[in-house]
Amino acid sequence: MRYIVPSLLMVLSFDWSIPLRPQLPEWVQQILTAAQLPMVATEARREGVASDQVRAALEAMRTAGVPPSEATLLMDSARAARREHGPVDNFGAFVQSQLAAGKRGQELAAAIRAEHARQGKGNAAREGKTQPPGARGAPDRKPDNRGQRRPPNG
Amino acid sequence: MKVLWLGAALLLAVTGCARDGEQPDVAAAAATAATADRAVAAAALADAIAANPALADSILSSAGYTPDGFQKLMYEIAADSAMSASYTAARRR
Repeated sequence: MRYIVPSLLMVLSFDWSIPLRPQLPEWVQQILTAAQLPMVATEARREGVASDQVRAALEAMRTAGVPPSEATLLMDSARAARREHGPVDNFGAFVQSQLAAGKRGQELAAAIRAEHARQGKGNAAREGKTQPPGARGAPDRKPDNRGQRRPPNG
Repeated sequence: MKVLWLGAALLLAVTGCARDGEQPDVAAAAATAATADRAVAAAALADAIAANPALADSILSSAGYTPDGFQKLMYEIAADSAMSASYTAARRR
């Protein structure tokens, strides 16, 4: 009896360390992530990305054979970069050019982040450059997503 | 009397023209409703899979989709601003 209780506790603690939900197959995970793509695209539009740019980026990814689950992650990464550095011109064309150069996945996400860091129109304000609001190239101090709910990232 | 008949004919002609003019609007509204319905149906499907991921295969096939077909649909909805807005609203309900 002295050994039964500790053994039982050991077995129970082992059982608790096993996830309660079985691991989902990879393709189901991909479906669940892909199902977020329209929501991420909607949020990108709400945050101010032009609808034609969103469409161009998605069309480029679809044509290049990027799975929609990966497109979801890329669009979400682009949204984060835009929030951090500001918008860039011709987002769709940039994505298309990077895909044409053979970039995919993490490499493409890094290229998008780098482009926003380099060309983002909100960088001047953060660097403390003194430009009067409304001057050419000066960032618009009003966020373009005021009063809008931020979506869940995922 | 002649004037009365002429007036009636003119009224009929004008009404007919107005109805002809309305038809494209009705067709456009029907098309919009159809695409919104498709987006809402896709959202319901996605919700069902999220709630029962272990049954994803049977949920998809009962709705007439393969995993590839569903993923193509996601691209199609995401690229269309109206459809993706309907889908997003339906999924957040």
